[in-house]
Amino acid sequence: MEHTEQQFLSQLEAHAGIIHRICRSYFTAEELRKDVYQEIVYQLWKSYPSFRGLSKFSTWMYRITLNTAITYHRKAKRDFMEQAWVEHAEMIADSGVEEEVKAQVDRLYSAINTLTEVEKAIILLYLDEQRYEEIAAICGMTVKNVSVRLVRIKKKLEKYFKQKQVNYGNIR
Amino acid sequence: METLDDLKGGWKQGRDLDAPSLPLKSTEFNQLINGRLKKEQRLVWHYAVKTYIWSVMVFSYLSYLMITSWGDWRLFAVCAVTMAIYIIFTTVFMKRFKRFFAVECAAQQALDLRQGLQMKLKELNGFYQFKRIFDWIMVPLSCMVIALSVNNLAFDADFTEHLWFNMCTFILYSAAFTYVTFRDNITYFKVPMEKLNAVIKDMEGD
Repeated sequence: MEHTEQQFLSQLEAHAGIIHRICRSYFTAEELRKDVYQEIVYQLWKSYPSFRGLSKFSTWMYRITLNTAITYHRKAKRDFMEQAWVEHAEMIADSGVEEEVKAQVDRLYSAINTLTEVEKAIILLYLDEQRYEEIAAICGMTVKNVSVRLVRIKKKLEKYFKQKQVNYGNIR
Repeated sequence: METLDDLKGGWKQGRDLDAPSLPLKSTEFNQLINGRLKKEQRLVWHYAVKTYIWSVMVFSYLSYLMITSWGDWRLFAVCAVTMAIYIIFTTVFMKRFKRFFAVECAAQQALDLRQGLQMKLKELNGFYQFKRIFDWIMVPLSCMVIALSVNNLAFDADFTEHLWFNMCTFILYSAAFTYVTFRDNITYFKVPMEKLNAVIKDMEGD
């Protein structure tokens, strides 16, 4: 039992970012994110005995994490990210490289937040450099469908960035 | 203008910069798991235990009514029918509730996200359809029992002697029960089902 728990924790540590990124993309309010984060770890632990290693641990983890995030009962309002964009736009002007990278990521998260649940899943997997075949296998879609969706998502996001830069100016 | 490809570079470098530390120590992890287990138990309490306690209260009261009003065969019949329906529905309700949790676990082990969501939607919909029948029968029955009890406590007379008062009691309780059930169904069934349906349709869209 102890051995299994240790195995689980070490695998979880190696792929911890997956949960964080999915939580940030699907939930904007900090409190809610913490709650979902714990729920995901709990769901992963509950499902761990059924993980037989037929797929990669990360693939299995993406599937369960996305499933939990999509079906989680949402309580928070979606007004946080808009604020984050403005705050970062003001802050980045005098900050260093790391802050700029952070701000870029924040902007990307705020853009992802405008997408539908399925689009969020696809773009996150894409940004995490999963192959189209893997994205299709995780989501239960065809490879062709994934590639068509990605083109649309990219267009949507670019339109969003364009709109934001018109509203707040180029902040780089 | 920033493009997605520009931002992808930044994403690789900084995607986990503000990631919270995981509860990687065994003690913290166990605390987390225990906390979630308690939360899950609270949910079980919300549905199963409350249903069970309510049933026990109803059975006790109906038994009391049957004994104290021995000879009033109309009241006896209402009590007996209510008891029989309650036993059947409570048993089925508990079984379906148990199955609902089992499907929740199975959905996590589904081959892919879509299959998992479809399983959840199917079970949620099945449970909701059953609960609707349960509500349609149990709400009027429960309210009738309450109206009879109020009549017994207030007047200790035949139900028809204060018919208007008793009808008002019945309607009042029915309205309150219906409102609570309606809100409950929206929160726990309709909204999640609409969301799941939208996600599945979105996946099947192209």
